[in-house]
Amino acid sequence: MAAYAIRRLGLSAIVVVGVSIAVFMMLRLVPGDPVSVMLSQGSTAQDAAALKHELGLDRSVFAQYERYAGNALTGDLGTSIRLHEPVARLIGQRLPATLELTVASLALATALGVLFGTLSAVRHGRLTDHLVRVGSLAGVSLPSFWLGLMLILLFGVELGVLPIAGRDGLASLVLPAVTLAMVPLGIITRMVRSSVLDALREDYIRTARAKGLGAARTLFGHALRNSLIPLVTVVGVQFGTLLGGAIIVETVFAWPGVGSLLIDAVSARDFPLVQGIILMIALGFVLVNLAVDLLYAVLDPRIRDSMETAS
Amino acid sequence: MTVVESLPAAPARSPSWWRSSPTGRQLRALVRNPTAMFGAAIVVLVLLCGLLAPLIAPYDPLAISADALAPPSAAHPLGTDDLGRDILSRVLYGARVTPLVGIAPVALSAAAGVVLGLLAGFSRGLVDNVIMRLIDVLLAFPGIVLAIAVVAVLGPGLGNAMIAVGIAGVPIFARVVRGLVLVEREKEYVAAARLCGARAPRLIFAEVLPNVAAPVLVLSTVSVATAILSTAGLSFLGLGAQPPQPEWGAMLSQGRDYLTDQWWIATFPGLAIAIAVLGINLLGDGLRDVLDPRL
Repeated sequence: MAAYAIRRLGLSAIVVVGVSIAVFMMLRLVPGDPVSVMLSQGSTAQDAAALKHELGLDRSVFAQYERYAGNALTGDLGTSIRLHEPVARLIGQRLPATLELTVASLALATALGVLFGTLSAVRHGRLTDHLVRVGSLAGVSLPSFWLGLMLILLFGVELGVLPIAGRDGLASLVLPAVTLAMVPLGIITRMVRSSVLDALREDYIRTARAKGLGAARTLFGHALRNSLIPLVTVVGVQFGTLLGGAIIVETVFAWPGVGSLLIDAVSARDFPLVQGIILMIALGFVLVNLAVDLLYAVLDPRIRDSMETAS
Repeated sequence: MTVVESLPAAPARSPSWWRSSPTGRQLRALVRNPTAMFGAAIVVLVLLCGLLAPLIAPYDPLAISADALAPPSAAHPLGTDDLGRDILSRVLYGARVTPLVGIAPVALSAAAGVVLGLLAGFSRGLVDNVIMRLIDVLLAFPGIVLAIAVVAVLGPGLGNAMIAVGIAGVPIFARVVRGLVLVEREKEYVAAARLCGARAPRLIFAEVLPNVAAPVLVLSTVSVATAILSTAGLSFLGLGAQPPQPEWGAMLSQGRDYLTDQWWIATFPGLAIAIAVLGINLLGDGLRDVLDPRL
């Protein structure tokens, strides 16, 4: 296990370095002069030279990266051109709202996904199964930005039972969380359904039933328990999807998270802020994937063994 | 007599081909799959709407009129927007853009991803390691975040949004193809071709590639749905199609400001996206069942 964990940590470290290079290169890949892209109309040549110096663009690329990575390691992600505040502070102010939204959505999607997926597998081929399958497919097909607007229209405007924008208490979390949960809910439901169906066909389930174990105990004690191991991976991957999806949902519901901050920054071509937010999201995703892989190896020794053999 | 004339004629595709050949059997299974056929019908309907838009749209999609913010009526079945433009006409013209925003990014993802996956899976060693670490770096960015990063660099616009969504899809194709190649390269037909003197390019493109084509086709179908959603999402955020282009995501974004009183402006373009994506997903599900249950 230790060898596997060390190897996995090493791979993650390589990815983190790669991510930092990719994010650093963003500004350098802008067609034309990045400084003139960022400056507002009416700026002077001195403004351009000052910004160029501030961003370190007057040095060699290697020196620029060394400075960028060194600063990032100490938590200094630069200063927002538009808001004139440190990027790290701006992210820190908005991050709790994004985490609140993604965690709530993930919890909702996981709980309902396990429930619907299991129900669908147990009722295989019946009406419940068909309804769940169609529902999960609809869940992954609905554009979140449209679903969000429709929920606002129904629950906020027509019925007036839930707030339609902003972050003010638990009630304001309901609509954004439900909107964001829809895609992972569809994916988790389908995964749990197929996983439980596979498990129910295994010999050990037949043996358990033959020994006289009740249907409920067979399902919850054996089939569901074993089929939920792959759920760890799916939930981990969905966390990344949710971080991405949150960008759109936050815009729909005026939710004050990093997603809406990112869109404002992209529109204003505020590159230090764009780079900082993208770096933070990617690093968060790398960390979650690392945790999921290690947890998966702990839960299922077969995976660990096969990975160690492969390496 | 030319060489072509001297060759034996290819056997005609008779009903027995439909029953006996693997492709015939797969097509038969697809045709008999009601959900896949329902999905195919939706896809055909969307394509027809786009194709026939100039003939069936009641108004010019860009024509501004004094009848602004009119609710659905006989004159305007889906109502009008803030500039008095007919929503139905704009939705129909939007269907012309949809195949492009679905297929072009996936073509980019598939072309780059398949080549990278084939190279990585076939060469192993240093080339494999370098390619896969690059793919790992790209995979560290959630799809829409990577797309937003690319648009941030290239600037907003429908073309750049499609390139962005295409780049965001590359790592998935590369990963899947590499995994498939690792399995295929150990099979006997590859060893036989190698013994016959086939070199790496021939082994990769003439032997292995056709055998990984089915899963790539399935992945492409599913990816078209994702590409439509992502591009519409970027347009909704103001980073894709720009006004006055009749693109569903951009139309939805314009309708957001009028949601409380003029619900129809945002509702119908979104419904169009949902229907198109559902159709592709249903077709993709059926294709997966028939062609590659492993995915």
